[in-house]
Amino acid sequence: MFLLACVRPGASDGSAPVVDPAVRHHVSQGSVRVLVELRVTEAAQPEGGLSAPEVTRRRAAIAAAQSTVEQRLAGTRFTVHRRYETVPILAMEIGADALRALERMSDLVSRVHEDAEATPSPGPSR
Amino acid sequence: MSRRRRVAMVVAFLVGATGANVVGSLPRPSATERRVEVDPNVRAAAHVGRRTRVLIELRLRAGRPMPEGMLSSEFAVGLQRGDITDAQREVRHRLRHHAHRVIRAYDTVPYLAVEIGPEGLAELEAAGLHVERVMEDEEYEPTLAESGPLVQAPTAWSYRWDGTGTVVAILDTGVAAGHPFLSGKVIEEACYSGGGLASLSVCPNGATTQTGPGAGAKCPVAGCDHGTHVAGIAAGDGTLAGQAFSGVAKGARIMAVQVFSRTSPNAVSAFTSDLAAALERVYLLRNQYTIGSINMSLGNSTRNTSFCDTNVLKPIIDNLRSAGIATVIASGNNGYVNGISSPGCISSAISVASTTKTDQVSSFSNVAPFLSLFAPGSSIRSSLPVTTFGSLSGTSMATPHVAGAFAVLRQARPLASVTQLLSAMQTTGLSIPDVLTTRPRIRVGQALASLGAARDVTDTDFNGDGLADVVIHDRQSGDWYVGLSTGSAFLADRWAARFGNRADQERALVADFTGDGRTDVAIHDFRTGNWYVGRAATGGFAVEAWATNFGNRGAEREAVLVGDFDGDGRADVVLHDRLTGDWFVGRSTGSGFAVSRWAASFGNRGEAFEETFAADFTGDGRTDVAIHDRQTGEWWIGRSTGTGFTKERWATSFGNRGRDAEDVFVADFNGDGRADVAIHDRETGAWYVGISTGTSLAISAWVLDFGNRGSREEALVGDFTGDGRADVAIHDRETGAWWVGVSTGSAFTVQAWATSLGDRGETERTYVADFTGDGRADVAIHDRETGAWYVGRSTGAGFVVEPWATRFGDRGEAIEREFVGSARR
Repeated sequence: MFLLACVRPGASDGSAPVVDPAVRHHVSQGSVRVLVELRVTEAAQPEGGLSAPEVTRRRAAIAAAQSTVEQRLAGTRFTVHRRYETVPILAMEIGADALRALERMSDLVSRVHEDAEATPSPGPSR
Repeated sequence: MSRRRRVAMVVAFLVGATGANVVGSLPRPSATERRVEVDPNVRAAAHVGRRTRVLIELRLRAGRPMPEGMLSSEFAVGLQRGDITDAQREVRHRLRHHAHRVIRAYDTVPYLAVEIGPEGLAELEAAGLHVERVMEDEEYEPTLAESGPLVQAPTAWSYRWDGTGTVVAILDTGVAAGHPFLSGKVIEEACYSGGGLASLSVCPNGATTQTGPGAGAKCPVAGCDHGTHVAGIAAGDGTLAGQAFSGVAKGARIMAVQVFSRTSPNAVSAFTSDLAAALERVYLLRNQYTIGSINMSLGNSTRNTSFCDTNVLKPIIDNLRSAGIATVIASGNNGYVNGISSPGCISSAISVASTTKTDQVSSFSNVAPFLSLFAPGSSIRSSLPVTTFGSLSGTSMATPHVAGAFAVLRQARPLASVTQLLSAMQTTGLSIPDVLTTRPRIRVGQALASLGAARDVTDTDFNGDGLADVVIHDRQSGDWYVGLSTGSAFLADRWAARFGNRADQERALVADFTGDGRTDVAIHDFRTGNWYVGRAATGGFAVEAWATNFGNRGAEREAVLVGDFDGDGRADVVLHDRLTGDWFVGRSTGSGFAVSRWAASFGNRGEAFEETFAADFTGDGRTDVAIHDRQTGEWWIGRSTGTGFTKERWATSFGNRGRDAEDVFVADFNGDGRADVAIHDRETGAWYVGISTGTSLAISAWVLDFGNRGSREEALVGDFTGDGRADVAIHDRETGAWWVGVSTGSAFTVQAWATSLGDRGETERTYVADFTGDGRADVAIHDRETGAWYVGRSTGAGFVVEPWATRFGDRGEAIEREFVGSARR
């Protein structure tokens, strides 16, 4: 309860979180790895342009938003893979019920990205 | 109509139209024989609309050519060569309506080397009667030994910038830290891997996160050699491994971050979430290390035709960039001509595409108009686990060239923003045209020059600490006294005795002849032609004999210039015979001068009419020479090829009012890495600048009334603001007032910078150099009567006057001569 009281969700424009089509496709087949982008408007700019107190406030707001999302997902199928200290993102594996819950969090969640894969970039060998 | 059908019709038409001319003398080729064989790589390049270099094998009228030694007579050889010439002419005629460039025509073999586009290829295929095959003009494999010089890494090293003190973070498949090329370099490690669907951790401890020694080790799956190869290109040191080549930032250390997961038994992929964790790790360590750059030689196959700023990695890349850390990412290997893969498409990242050794776009490379930079990426030889070396191709290999370059630039300019460093590389890069866009290929030496961080081999820095020192040579005793700059004073000490004490037959020169970053001194006996070099060591000069019979025709007839004419980082000397116009260069080997003639009949009108300069007018890292005819105002450049001077006329009527009316300065006034020329009319105060285009001087007036008070004023040149562009200064020797004309790149903006700095007229001498090592040129006033030295420390907007030495050089001009800074003027 205390955490919830501390969280100042980002100024939501009321729009529902954007969900990448790939996430919707994969979740229909089971669970999917996602990166949840959170709405944290506290000092929302690169840290290099912020004062030390502003950085502290922003990081606290990020941590609070992450905790709130996890709490609101209670009872759904999800696992948190990674939390980040400096950027408002949560790496998770979610099921369809968790995705529906995230979509209802328009005050906290701006986008649900696929946790996309990259490969090394060597070209064709000669 | 499809391209294939159109080509077929053209072939049919040509056979019908031209066949009759040759059928009488030749067996009629069958339809099969007339087909032109085209190399698949050439066709692939044409398919995406790229121009490519090809070798055309020609079909001769007399059939297959014979080796000339097997032909029966000279006459037969002549006939065959005539056939070859005819066939070449026919093909060139056929190509006349299509964009093409003939690179080489051969006399004795039926080949033509041409650069062509898709239409040109179609024409060649239609020219079946004249063309046998169209082959790729294949390149042999460049190693770092070749790609390093291509991006001017050795030039940067000769400026003493090699990334020392910085760290390059390699987010990849881990690094074999025990490889000799990387020995002792990996100083920070982490691993982010696995932990989800169909993804197994390859971290050494089996967990999803590991930090500390061993965490960034090479992963145990096929394809995991990649990170070691990439790390070597960015920061490998050949001296550690007994190799002649090194990575771009050979002095940098490495943060090895393993970010891949096993996604199938024999394959690895990196999840965005792990990349984000790795990037955040680097960011959180930014105060512990000077992170020069982050290398990400990875991506997916998406084709992004514009920035992809909804990518979830953008906020953290923004954080890194705001902290001065460049995230350098591969553009991808799908051959897109208008698209970059993700995450290289993020606008705050630095995207890198690949070129070949001959500066063509690599056939596999993704390119887009919003691409940041090109770098060599085709067949690059670098380190492979565990202790070997091998070649790999890809934008993966291009990317660490740029990551290394950022580390080098970061070392030189610790406070510059990523945008400033990127801009320096973009504005000085070699333009590489592709199908839809032209983007720059990095040239680190020129980028450093544009940031004001180039070191001239004629600068005076006797202990190699980056602060300009002064040296005083007593021509009677042969004593040498060096005043080492501490940043706030000159500490004077005797460095040599009885070295150059015959002033009437010797000249002294000062430059870094050994290429170790420390300035040496040289004595040239212009009667015997003997040369002696005093090699700078700690606290003294070690005298060595370097040449004999090199310049023994007297000081009047032979002019001596110093520069790095072969671009190897060591100062060379050139002797110009004003009577014959001969130029002899003594190339420094590090322990002697290897003398050869580089030009003849170039500047033989004598000192009264002509003056000579040495500077890098072409911006290729090699010093060129220039002859300025003060009567006609002509400028002739001797472009250094590394082994000779090619004579070119660059300007007419630029400075023809004589020595008394005009000053001439050579410096880089627009910060593009090429030396320019400024002419100052002392009567009117007008300044005209001839900006080097690389092939000529583009002349314009930069300011019209700056310094017109005659001999009481002196004009000097230096980069007083530290922005990479040379500025000009006017010093009133009666009042001690200083005005600086700050270069904007196309004009001088005049500002008052000091009062009462040097007001004793001829008693004092003025010098320009960076005595404080902050990248900004300062001024020094030396009172030859008292031996006092005052330095005007540049703040970027004025000079702060400080006393730096007393009784250092007080025996007058007849006995003592001081050497300070660059000898550009």
